[in-house]
Amino acid sequence: MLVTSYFLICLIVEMRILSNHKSKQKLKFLNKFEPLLFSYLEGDGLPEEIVHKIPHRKYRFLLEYLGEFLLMLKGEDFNKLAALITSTKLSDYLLLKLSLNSKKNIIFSSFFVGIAKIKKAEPILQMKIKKHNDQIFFRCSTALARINSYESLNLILTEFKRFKYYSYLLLILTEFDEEICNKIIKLLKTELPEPLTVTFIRVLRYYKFQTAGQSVLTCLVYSYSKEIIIESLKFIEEIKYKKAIPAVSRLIEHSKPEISSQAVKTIMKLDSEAFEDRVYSKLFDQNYEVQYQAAYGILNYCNDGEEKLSELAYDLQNSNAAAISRMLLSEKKVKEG
Amino acid sequence: MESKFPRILLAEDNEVVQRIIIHKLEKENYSVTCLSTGEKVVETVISIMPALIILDLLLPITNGLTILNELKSNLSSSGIPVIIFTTDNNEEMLNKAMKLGAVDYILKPFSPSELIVKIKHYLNLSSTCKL
Repeated sequence: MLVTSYFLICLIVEMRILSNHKSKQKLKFLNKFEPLLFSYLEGDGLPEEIVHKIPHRKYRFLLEYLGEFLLMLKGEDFNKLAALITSTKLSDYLLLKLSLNSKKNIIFSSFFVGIAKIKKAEPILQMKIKKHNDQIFFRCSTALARINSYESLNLILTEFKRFKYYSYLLLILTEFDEEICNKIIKLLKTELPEPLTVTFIRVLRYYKFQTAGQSVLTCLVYSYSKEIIIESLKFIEEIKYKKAIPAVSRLIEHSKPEISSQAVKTIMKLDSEAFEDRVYSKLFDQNYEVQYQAAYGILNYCNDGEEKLSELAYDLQNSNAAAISRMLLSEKKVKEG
Repeated sequence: MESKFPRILLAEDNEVVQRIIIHKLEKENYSVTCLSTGEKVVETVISIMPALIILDLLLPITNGLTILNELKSNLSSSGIPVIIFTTDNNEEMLNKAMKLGAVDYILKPFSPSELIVKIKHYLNLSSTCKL
């Protein structure tokens, strides 16, 4: 017991020393390199000249340091920083690390080749995503997406079939630029599994991609899946796609309350004036969520919404509608201060 | 001693962002006071009366919206232009901040030159108003 405690204490002390040493080294590096970097960003020096001043053994420090800047900057400064990686020896260093079999190296280098958009890394990344490791798949697919490697899209989708986490796929797909939406519109015309269709529509919603209105409307009209219908409604609401009004209005009376409540919410965003009476009647629905969305829509999108809910707020015959009205009215008062 | 250069208060918890902004602002001859948490922002503003405030919405301890609300409710600080600094997934908070009286916003990732242009614009504007 005593011996174990002794070794444990030694281990902790050693770890502390190592961590302090690493922090000091980092700080020393930072103090030396940061002025160089800032003057480079001001226009002094070429990328090769800057990187040439850093010893090869410090490349990892340099990249870790640049990574933090790359995540925070955009525009001209971002491009100049990315050039420090793409047009110098750092790019070869990363490609070498990426091609190794070490998970740690692949994860580290894939971040940089992705964020700096090193096109040359595409074939290696494509090979890596075929490996049966979810972390490597996720990191390398994200890198391919950041490079906008549309040639890799089918491969990513095929390899993704091994995993079930569609939220991961959503994160990967939204790393592509907006052009991904045109690819998705084409894919939506084919037969797809339900979660994939939902994910695709979510990507379109993320980009608020107006041109996809008709494609998503088709999904809405021809699908029997609750998830697809709800996601389509959310997209239509987001881009305010007025052509979808007849289809959305039919769903107000849907037997599934999840769909009906989303349809109420969407229709009020599309044309509150025309649907005010129908939505008002939904205040007396059997389902709480439908009632809530109806009350919310009336209050926020109708001119006399506040008066209508105030009239209902103490209606003893409709206790649910009255309670929701009181709650929303008081929330509004709080928000208005 | 009073600095002859306009003082800017930067309330931002990300160290990298702090270093970039401080470097850029000092290069433009602004003097910068930097705070990494929201705890003492209002107090510092009242004591140094900066010409402009750059305020991150997601600050530790006291968040940006609470700070902004306090600044705008206080007579001595209500006229100081506040530029909000935030990530693009904070649409709701950003709308609230603009309603509370922020003059403008910058989304992260950001372009330092764009930030400088905005700072110059609002400083010019507020000095014109004082005239």
